[in-house]
Amino acid sequence: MKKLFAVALGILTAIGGFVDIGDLVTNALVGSRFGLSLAWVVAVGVIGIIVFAEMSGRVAAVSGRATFDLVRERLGPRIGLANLLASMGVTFLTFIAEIGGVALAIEIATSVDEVLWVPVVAAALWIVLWRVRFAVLENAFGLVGLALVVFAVALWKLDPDWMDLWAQVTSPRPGANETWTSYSYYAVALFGAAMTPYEVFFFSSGGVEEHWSEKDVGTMRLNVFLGFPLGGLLSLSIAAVTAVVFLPAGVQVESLSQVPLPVAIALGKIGLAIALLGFFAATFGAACETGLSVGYSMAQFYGWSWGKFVAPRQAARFHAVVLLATVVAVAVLLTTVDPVAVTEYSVVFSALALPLTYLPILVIANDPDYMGERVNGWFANALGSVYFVVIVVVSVAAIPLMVLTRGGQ
Amino acid sequence: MLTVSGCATPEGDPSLYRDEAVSTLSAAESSVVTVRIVLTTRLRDRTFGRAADDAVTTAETSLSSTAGTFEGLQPPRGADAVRQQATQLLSDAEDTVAAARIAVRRDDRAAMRQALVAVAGVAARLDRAPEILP
Repeated sequence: MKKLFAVALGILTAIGGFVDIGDLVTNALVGSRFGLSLAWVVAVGVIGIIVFAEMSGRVAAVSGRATFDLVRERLGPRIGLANLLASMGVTFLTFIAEIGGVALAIEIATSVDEVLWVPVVAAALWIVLWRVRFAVLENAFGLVGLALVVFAVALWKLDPDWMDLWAQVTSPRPGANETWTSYSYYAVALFGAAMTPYEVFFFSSGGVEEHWSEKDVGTMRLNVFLGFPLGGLLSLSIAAVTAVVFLPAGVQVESLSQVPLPVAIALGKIGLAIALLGFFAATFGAACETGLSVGYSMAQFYGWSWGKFVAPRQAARFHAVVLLATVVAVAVLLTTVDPVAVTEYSVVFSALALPLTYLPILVIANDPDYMGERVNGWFANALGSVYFVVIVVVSVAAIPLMVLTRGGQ
Repeated sequence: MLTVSGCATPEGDPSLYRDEAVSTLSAAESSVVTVRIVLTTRLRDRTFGRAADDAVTTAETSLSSTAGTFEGLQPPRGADAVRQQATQLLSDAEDTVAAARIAVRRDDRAAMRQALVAVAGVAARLDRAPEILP
């Protein structure tokens, strides 16, 4: 019974924790401009994150060390440093976007400018990262993040023409007023949002925080194989409601305040309140994950003591990096930069950094010295190799598409 | 001579300027229709006053930015009529959205209904802009 509860909790937190500010903004924007014609990208991205999260979780369970703890040792300091700079840079950008997202969610509820909320959010975030136990932090925000299921309920309540939505899904091409270039740009952005590097950083480091061993591999796989696809469906429901309400009206989503409007139309104030709670939990939870991931990556690269499973005094440098990252993120947001714009850039730069994040996972998961009998099988390797090619193509295309479309305009 | 001519402001292509106007008016229409949806939702009491205020204020900010960018463009010769019509439409859109914001912030239902009619009218004009621009 206890095992069943742990599995159910893991799956639920994986669903609720899947959506972050990148998924919220990108899916809503894509739904309003392209309908569900880019739904296939979400499916491809979800399978990709499943492939690499399973590998990194298996590495953590078998070796007792986070994947990126092994990168420098296995691939040497040069590749390790390149990996650190790329992954940490993108994770930090995502961290800024998540803090901005929390502030925007509170702004919608209070109509007080998000800039005024940024220091408050950052202070609350740092206290949570400093004081709250890892399991509480992971489970609480993941479970409350399930409030975003309200988007799926709203979709059903809006009573759309399901055949029309299905026709959009099965027509993977830009609409009448869109170009293939902008379609491709948003395909890259959606892929980057689904496969954000911090997700595997956090997943494998979290496995070490929770002392996974080989006997936890089955539970980890259930969480990944069930939780992530259901989280992907949650992302698609956000795209679907904006496709139903905004696409026919010619409205393009460019702010977070537009995203819950379809829920308000369908379900009224109660639905809106639940959606705002979901926004808060999803972005605050992701801010915790990205903030910790910045600390994890730096500490793991330099071999410092890290994590919340040791007393803060014993992981002083890890906590100092987390605090410094929080302070710098606040400074960036106080320049009044638009958090939605930061989010849009963060998902594209995520796509750019993907090869440097995922190649080490593939290499280490194939190393019998670390993995023993749990080394990658042919199926994991075939999927991993195919996805690595996809990741390289997406990474190479990201910046040219950004320039050609002037950031998706 | 070559250096001096390189420093001169480019004259620009009237058809490209018209395309820019159409694209700007389309972005403005997106903001105006957002405000129309918010007003309708608020009048049906399906959203909170503060959430409605935030959505309208954000749309207004976006609209001002869109309009400001277009108005800052140097129109090429022969495109003054395009500029005049486009800026008039943008100005009307900004005025109606500002009226909507004032009504929502005061939670004045009668003013919100008036603003809804005005916003719907401007949205319809913006929708027809690609055909009516010279």
